[in-house]
This record gives sequence, structure tokens and C-alpha cells, in this order.
Amino acid sequence: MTSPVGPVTAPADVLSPAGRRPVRISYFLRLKLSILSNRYRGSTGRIIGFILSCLIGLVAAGLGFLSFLAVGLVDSSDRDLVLLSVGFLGGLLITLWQAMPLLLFGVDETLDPARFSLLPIPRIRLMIGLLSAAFLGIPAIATLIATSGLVVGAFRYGPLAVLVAAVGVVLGLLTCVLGSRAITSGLASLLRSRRARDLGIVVVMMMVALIGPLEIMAVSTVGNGEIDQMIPVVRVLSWTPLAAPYLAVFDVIEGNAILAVPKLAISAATIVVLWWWWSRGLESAMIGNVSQAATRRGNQASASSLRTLRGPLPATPYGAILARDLRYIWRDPQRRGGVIAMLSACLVVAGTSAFNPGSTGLHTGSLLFTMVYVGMFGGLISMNQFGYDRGAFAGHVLASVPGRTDIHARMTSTTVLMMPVILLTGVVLVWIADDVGRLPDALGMALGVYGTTIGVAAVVSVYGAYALPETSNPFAMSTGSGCSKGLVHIAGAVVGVLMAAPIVGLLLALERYAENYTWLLLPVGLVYGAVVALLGSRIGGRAIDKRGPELLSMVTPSK
Amino acid sequence: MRRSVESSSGTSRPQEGTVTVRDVNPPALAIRGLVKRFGQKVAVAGVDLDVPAGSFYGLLGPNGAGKTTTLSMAVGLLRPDAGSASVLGFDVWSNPVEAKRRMGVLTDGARLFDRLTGAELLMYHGLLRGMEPSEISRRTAELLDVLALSDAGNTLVIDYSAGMKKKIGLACALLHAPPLLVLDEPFEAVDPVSAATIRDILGRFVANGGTVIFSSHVLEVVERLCDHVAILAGGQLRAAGRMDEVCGGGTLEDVFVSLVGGRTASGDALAWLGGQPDQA
Repeated sequence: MTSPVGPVTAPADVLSPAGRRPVRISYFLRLKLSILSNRYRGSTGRIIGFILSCLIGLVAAGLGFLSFLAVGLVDSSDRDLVLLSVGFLGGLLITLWQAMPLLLFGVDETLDPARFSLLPIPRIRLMIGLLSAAFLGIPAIATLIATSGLVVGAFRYGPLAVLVAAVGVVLGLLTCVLGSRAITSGLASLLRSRRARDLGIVVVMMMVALIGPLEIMAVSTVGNGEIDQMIPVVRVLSWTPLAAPYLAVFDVIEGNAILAVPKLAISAATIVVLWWWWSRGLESAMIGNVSQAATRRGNQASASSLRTLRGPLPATPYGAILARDLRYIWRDPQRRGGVIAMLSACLVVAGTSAFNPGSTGLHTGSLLFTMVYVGMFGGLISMNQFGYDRGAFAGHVLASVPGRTDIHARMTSTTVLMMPVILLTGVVLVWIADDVGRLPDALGMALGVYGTTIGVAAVVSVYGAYALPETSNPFAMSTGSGCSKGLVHIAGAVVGVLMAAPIVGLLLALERYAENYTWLLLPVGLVYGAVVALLGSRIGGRAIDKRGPELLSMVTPSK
Repeated sequence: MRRSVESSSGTSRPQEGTVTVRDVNPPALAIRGLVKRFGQKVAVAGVDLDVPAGSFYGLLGPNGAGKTTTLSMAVGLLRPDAGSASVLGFDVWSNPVEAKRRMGVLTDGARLFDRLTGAELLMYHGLLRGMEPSEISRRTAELLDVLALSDAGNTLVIDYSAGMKKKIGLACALLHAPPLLVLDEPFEAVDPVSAATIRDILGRFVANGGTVIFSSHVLEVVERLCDHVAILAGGQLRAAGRMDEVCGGGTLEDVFVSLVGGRTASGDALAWLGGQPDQA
């Protein structure tokens, strides 16, 4: 057998044949390092990405280190503040670790337990190996660096404090890493069914959409100086696994060293439970529960028959694409998630403008600004409208669907979705503002912007299309290149809004010189928006006819 | 089915003596000098191929030989860097509407609108091709029945098994009754029962005067079904023609291995295999 020294390239090197030599933990670590370094080999972009994420990790670790170090820097008068920040930071850290597999970054399956299922490795050894390998990674190392500030800070309070802090930091890191492993494995079998994965995508999109509002809430809480009211919350938090490992040292500092023991015990017990849960989850993840997606129950598309694809729509390519697109708004989890995120964003924008703190009621500028925003969303969700088709767009190319027909059908579908949103937002906002007379110009504004942005989207979606990832992994969001493509879409939306400038100009002119005629904005906005939309569909349609195959390869995910 | 097309012959063909003769009865699919590069890599390096009308043509090649790329360019899904393709005399790239009307295509991995049900998908493809709804419904019922997909007509295609996906993709390709079928790996990842169904339908299609070209990396399938075979490797056509001509008395496997390369295991290597597991 090959000597364990030297680069590890294949499992044959890592794992000894049938029990001849025990599998060392270091094999797992080297395997992980090999996989990681192979991943970055030969691709400049990936290396740059790696260096960037190292830097970001380092900065985050440094900032975290300072925040935890604060324990040793402040006097007792400010200790409450430090208690608060360490408690919340520690809690946030552990929460983020548990949520990480579910949020943006995807599950770190560098060492996928399923790949070890055929190898004769004792379970405990496999778990220790996988866990050790899980510590090799930017997030784990950054977490360790950040939290070790607590240990350094504790030096001021004697050896006992240092000891408790160190044990706490280790237990905390274990909770983080082990928890995320356990959740990953626990969800693995659940996520094998398509419906669960679809739901996962929607949940993730909603979480992303809610980050903004939550941030606003958090900032306003801190801004209002409600720190004193938060102290009891942290005291309670310190008895939960979320903050216990990091707050135990405060009991030593405050002279109640005995209280630190149960806190560390809580943390240790959590780790035992997580270990047990992971062990069970690992088993099902390795066996790979047979997909239940094929079961009949619940998988029948509701009440769909031959007739219903078309419904009352014309039996033409236009009608077919429109009907299909309307269905996809709900049936494609990524589109459904996108629509839900868009609706939440509309709600947030409308809500913040309606309940703007510090102003009474709703003034005109804020009303119109909101309407511009809501109008723009329709275009924003259409910016990659062909990307959702993925490889299936081949069907359109093969059937020689005229580009304009294609775009018109998609525009109609988006309009069916967005029109109620625009109308409802307008009516509700005008009602809140108690100025029903503004409804025509509010709607005119939104419809005008809606028209210009979907017009721009008709062109951008052809030239700036990109492939969305296959939906097999609900947490595979567009990474790397997807981000820069997203910027193109935001730029497209900005251009769309700018193209609506004539309507704004008209509004300003009317307000100044003919205040009773601002209702003119409604017909003008409607017509102007429609003209730009049709113009966009003409340019975009011609582009599709000319470069259909290119568009297809842009939206087809690479394997 | 065959049409005499003099009008479109000039644009797409290189000036070769034999070509004008063929144009009276144009091949179902004629590929001329197709080239495709992806960055530095040449995926297809100049492929010429005639698929005679009424033939059952197998495009054979190892993984990565350029089969999918060649077929994608031939049906108008991927723009070639050079070369042309025509379907029954209609150039795929200069007259796509007429050419595409005459062929049914099963794409690589059956890329379909998979969040429609099987029945909806067929209705969709029929409408895109401008067919009458009543006719689509009639053919859909028949196709689903023959392909043993009737029970799954109301299941989303994404929940289909691999074999079912191939079959519904084939149904989409057949729906508008094209004279030419171009199928990319129709038997890949398909269970034996579904494969038998697909073979049966393709056989009937050819017997009724249709033309089929499909790609595969499985020798047995091609040998069993096809009367014509082309062997593609490294982006170049190594052999093409009637099965008996290509084989020349030998087996297809011999021809394939000698053209594509590869090695057979000798007696001495791996002698330690097949005994007891290693002892601790």
C-alpha cells in the first residue's frame, strides 16, 4: 500500500484496504486539503475568489477578535455593554453557523458522507474524521480567531477566567461546526424529495428578502438607546446553548465562578445531543434514502388536463407561451421565490414610505417614489426571463417561435402578475395618504415606469441572459459570475427608470403650471410605457430571431 | 415525402460533382464541413455526413467525441463556426423555419419544460408548432398510450424517471409527424422496458418511410437497430456508410476499437484480483 506521506489524490491512498491499517484522522484532513486545492487549481478567477474570501474572513475574524477582546479592556462600569455585545455576537455566530447550510453559502459537502458509505470505516472514526475536516475552512478558522479574543481578554482576571474562557471558546466552536454538520445530515434525507427542495428554495428566497427589514429593525432598536432593556434578554440567553459558552467567563469575572459550571455543562450537553443527532442523520445520509419523489400521492399537478394549458387563451404559440409562463410563475420554485421576494420588497417599500418615522402622513414625493419602485419591479423580475427556461428554451428554437411572439407572451404574463400589485399599492397608498385625487398620477407614474422597464428588460434579457443553476440543490444560488450578471440587471432597471424621465418631467410641469391636470399623467404614462415596451419587444424579438442559438447556450446551465 | 429541391441547392453546397445528383432526392440530413471550437478546444473538426432518406442511422462515438455538438449544429441549436447542414434540401441556418418543420429533435438530456405535466408539455409543443388543438389532443392520447405514459399524463415531467423523460421527449419530437428524427442519446439511462418501447417506435417510424439518426456510445444498440453507422472520435468522422460496408465482414466492435483506439486487458495485469480480501 502506498505510504501515507505525499499528496493524496485518490481514496485508495486515503483509506487502507480491509482493516489492514486503521484509518487515521489525518487522512481526512489531507483529503479535504487536496480537494480544496484541486478546486482552485488552474482557474485564476477561483484563486482570486479564494484570496478575497480569505481576506474577508480575516477582516471579519479581526473585528470579531476585537469585540471579544473588549472583555479585558473595559472597566466594570461598561461591562454590561460588553456582556451585551459578546452575548449577541456569540449567539449570532452560533445561529449563523446553524443557518449557514440553509442560507446563501450552500452545504459544504467537500467530504460528502455518502461517498464513504462503501468504505469499511468504523462510524465513530468516520465522524471524528469528518468533523476534524470540517474545521479546515475559512469560516471555522475565522470563528476560532474571533472568539479567541475572549481568552486573551480574560487574562486580566486570572487563570480561572482564562480557563473558563478557553473551554467556552472550544465548546462554542464545536457547537458551531457540529451543529451545522448535524443540520446538514439531518436535512439530507428530507431534501431528497423534490417538493421539499422546492420549498427550501422559496424559504431561502424569503429569508433573503427579509434581511433588509430585519436590519432596519435592528438598527432602529440600537439607535433608540434601548440597551438597558436588552440586558435581561442577554441574561436569559446566557443560559441557552446559543450564548452559554461565551458568557460563562462573565460569571467568573463577576465573582460567581460557580455559575460558570452549569453554563459550560449546558454547552457540553448540547454538543452531546448534536453528536447523537449527527450520528443518526449520518446514517440516513449515507444509506441515501430512496427518493420518495416518485410516489403518486401529492405529485399530481392539480386539475390539469389537455385543455387547461390553454384555458381561454388563443390556440397559438402566443397563447401557449403565455399559459406556460403563467404556470411557471408558481410551479418553478425559483420564480415563485422571486415573486414572493418581490412582493415582500414592494410591501417593505410601501410600508416604509407610508409609515415614515418623523413625518406625518404621506407626502407626494414619497408616494410617487414608491410607485416608481413598484413599477420597476415588474421589469426587474423580467431581466433574466429566458434564464428560467434553462435548456428547455431549445423547444422554442426548434419550433422557430418568432422572437416578438415569445417576448409579447412573456410581457403579458408579467403584466397579469404585476397589474394587481401596482393597482393595489396605488389604491392603498393613496388611501393612507388620504388624497384620492392623486390616484391617477400615482398609477400613471407606476405604469409608465413599468412599461419602460419591461421594454428595457426585453432587450437586456436577450443580451444579458445567464444560466440559473439547476434546482437539484435548493441552496445553490447563482454564485460568482451570477453576481456580476445581476449588476447588469440592476443597471437595466436603472436605465428603465431613467427612460421614464419624460413622465416625471411632465408631472413637475403640470404641478407647476396646471395643477388641476395632473390626472393627464395616467393616459400619458400608459401610452408612453406601452410604446417603450413595444419598442423593446421589437428590438428584443429581432435579437432572438437573429441569435436564438446563442441565447440558448447562454441560458443552458453547464454540467 | 421526398421533395426535389433545386432552388436551395446552390447556397448551401460546396461545388462537388456528385452533389447535384443527390439534390434531386436530397438526403434527409446533409452535413457539410461542420466545425465548432470552444475556446482552445476543437469539439468538432470538420464533419461531413449524408443521412439518406429512409435510413436508420447510428452516430457512434466514445464520450466526448463531439456527437452532441455535431447534432446540435445539425438541428440549429448551436451555431457552427464553419459548415452547413440541410434537412431534405432546406438549409438549417439560412432557411430555419422550413428545415425545422421537417424534423423532430430529442435534445441531450431531454431538456424540456419539466414543470408541465406530460400532456401539457405535448400540447405546448403542438401549439408552438402551430398545430390544431384537437389534432394535438388526439395525437397526445395516442402517443402517451403507445409510450405507456398514460398514467403519468398528469404528473409533472420533473418527477418522471429518466426513461419516462426520454419517452416524453420522443413524443414531443414525434408530435408534428416530421419526416426526420434527430435523437441525442435516446437510450442513455433508460431501463430495458422503456428502451424496448423506444426501439419499437423508431423501427415503425423507419418502416413507414421516416428517417432516424441517433447518437449513442453503446455499440450493441447501434448494431442491432441501424442500417447505417457513422463513427465519430475526437471531433472527426472516422467512418460512415452502410453498416455492412463499415464493418467489412468484421464486427462493429472490432471496427470501432481499431478506429477509435483503446486497449484490451492482457493476461498478466491485475493478477491479484479475484482472491480473498486482504488480511488484517
